[in-house]
Amino acid sequence: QPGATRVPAATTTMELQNVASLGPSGYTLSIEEKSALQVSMLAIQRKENLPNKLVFWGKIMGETNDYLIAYSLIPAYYFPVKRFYYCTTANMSTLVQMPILSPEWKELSAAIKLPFRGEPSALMIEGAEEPEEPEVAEGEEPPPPVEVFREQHRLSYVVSQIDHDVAVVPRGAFIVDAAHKVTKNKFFEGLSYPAAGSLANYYHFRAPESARAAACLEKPGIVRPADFLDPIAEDAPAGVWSQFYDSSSTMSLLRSFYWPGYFFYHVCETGEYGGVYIGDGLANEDLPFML
Amino acid sequence: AKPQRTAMSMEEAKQFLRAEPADGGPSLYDHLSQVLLKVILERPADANQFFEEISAAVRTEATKTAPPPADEGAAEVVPPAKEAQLKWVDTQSAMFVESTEDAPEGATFPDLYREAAMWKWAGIGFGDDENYRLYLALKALAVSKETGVRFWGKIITRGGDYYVAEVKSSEEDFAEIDPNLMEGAMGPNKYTYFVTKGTGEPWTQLPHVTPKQIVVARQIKRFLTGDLTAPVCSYPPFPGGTEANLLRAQIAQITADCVLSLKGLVKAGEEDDKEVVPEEEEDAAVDGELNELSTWVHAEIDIMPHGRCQAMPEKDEEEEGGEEEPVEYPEPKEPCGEIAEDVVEETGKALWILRTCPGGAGVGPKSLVYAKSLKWPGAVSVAAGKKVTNVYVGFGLATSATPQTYTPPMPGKILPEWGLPAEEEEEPQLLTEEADVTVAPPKEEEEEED
Repeated sequence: QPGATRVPAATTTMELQNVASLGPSGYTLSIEEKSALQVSMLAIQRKENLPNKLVFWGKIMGETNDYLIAYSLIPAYYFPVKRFYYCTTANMSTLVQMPILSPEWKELSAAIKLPFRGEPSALMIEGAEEPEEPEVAEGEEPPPPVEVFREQHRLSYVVSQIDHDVAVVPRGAFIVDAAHKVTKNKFFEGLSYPAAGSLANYYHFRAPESARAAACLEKPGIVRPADFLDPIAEDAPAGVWSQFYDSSSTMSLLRSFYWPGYFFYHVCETGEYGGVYIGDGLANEDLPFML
Repeated sequence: AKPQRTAMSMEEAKQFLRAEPADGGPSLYDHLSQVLLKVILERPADANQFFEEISAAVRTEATKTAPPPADEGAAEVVPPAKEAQLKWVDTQSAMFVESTEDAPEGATFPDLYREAAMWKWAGIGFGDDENYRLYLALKALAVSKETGVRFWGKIITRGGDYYVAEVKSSEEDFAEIDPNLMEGAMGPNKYTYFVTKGTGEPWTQLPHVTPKQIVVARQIKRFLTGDLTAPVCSYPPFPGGTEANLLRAQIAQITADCVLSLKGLVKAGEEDDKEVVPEEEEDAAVDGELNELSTWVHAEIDIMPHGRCQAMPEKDEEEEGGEEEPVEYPEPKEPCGEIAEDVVEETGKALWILRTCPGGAGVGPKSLVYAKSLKWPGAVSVAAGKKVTNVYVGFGLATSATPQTYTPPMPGKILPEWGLPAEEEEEPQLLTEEADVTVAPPKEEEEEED
């Protein structure tokens, strides 16, 4: 007799209240960070009239300060889009939207392998200087500032890369509804304990890239939840993902070894799951030597 | 011919919908009424958008039947989740049993839940529940070994994570070991380490580490697999072979590089061997401000490039047969070095970062300061007033000083073949190859093809 009220399923990454579930990862947020983020995430959601609330994405360590990153899911046709916001630990009360990058700056960002400095306005190109302030005649508005390649742009690129490579959802958490739009499944019951032990039941949360999954999304008719996303079991090299149960055998945990610091948990047989990245924002290019 | 669709009356329509399908199961009428009932009871926000899902959910619920009652005498099939969880419950409940005896003297264990509050400022934490269970597990280890235990940290592997506990080694362990092969309690083996995969599981002791293992461990870069008996396939080949040795070597390096204390709380020992000892004076005060790099000092002896902490033991000349070239070993560093001197050689960049917590708007006189290592990401040392606590949560890997991808050492040169002998020998015995024997193939008589 279906009579129980349903607990709403958790979102793809962290509600701040669920930071306690990150315990098995060994990392957590300090009281100061959690408290300030609660304020700034709510502020952004309401000031920008976002349809979904902000969720915590992760933390990228820098030398002077760390970056705290959150995003909101914007429903869009074909696949929902994530809009990212960041702040530094020096100033946690205001989240700033991440800048959009030109292809040229994307290439520049991909080439930088140094650790983050923690200053979003730091100039990233050696020898670059701050642009001079143009002279403004009286009564005229100053022209918009010239964009120079700064660490905030590199941060934007790195966050989008990490999200593309490691954001994970369990099978059935997102479905294609009757209007052929990808939406969160409000009736997600969770993976069973044995099913949660198999990497084949976890998928990348991104617009599908494999030919098979993209084709499934485009064909008319009902699309099964396992068909329209890229499974993580197909990531190469084998061993880049590791799955294990926590010591109480109630949660299934995933770690990525290409972006060490990404941690995903799913409480078996419930709709609760989440993933965060807490690390230095550098890809582990030595992976083939290390497996 | 197309069947006629005459208009149905209400009764006929209802009859049609209630018709049972050929393979048994509910009729469409029953199914639709179940779906509508579910929607009315649960009142989902957008039932129309999720109509197909609700319908599918009703179908699966309908087909779920209770498992058949077990036959008498047959083995009960236990779902794997239940078995694993009950096993965990048993190990944990055993820890919560209050012991009737007093803790033996000498068994000291940290107040983990208090230290955990300090670690949380540095972003390291296991969750309050797990902290307490870890505290109980460490207490059990201390009581069983009758010695002091410190929580060293957590190492992340590909198959679960290890909790690592540190115990001071006893001198007797090293009485029979050749000091040329392994340094004893004055070197990296000052502590003995125990690991476990989860609280309540038995603690496994890690083997002692030899200088050769440290030298090779510095040259390889591998993730741990989570199985202590797994072989380490690496180049250069890892002496001692198993993952337990590799883990121990990494722990030794991290301890030597990252366990910190504050200036004024420790001092160099006065013996010949390099040593760090705590200040015994009662009113020992910290010498300097916490948020300056010069106030933090290393609390453990540095391991030199050849894998030892102290100078090489003197060789007895009578034991050695032939003459060996004397090898130049570097001098050990002075103990209690400031961490301000830990810099990348090429660039002079500091390897430690200090942060004050709470900082920014919340900074106050009780703010604590933590030092984060850039060489061993995950190594953190938190200080508040006179109390310092060190912990490591990470993969057990060092970052390279300059950003470059790891390259394994090149294999050695190919050894030359046995060359011509020295000219002094009178009867040189050269090895020469036999000339190839060439035999012409027998000539076959040509056969006519069919």
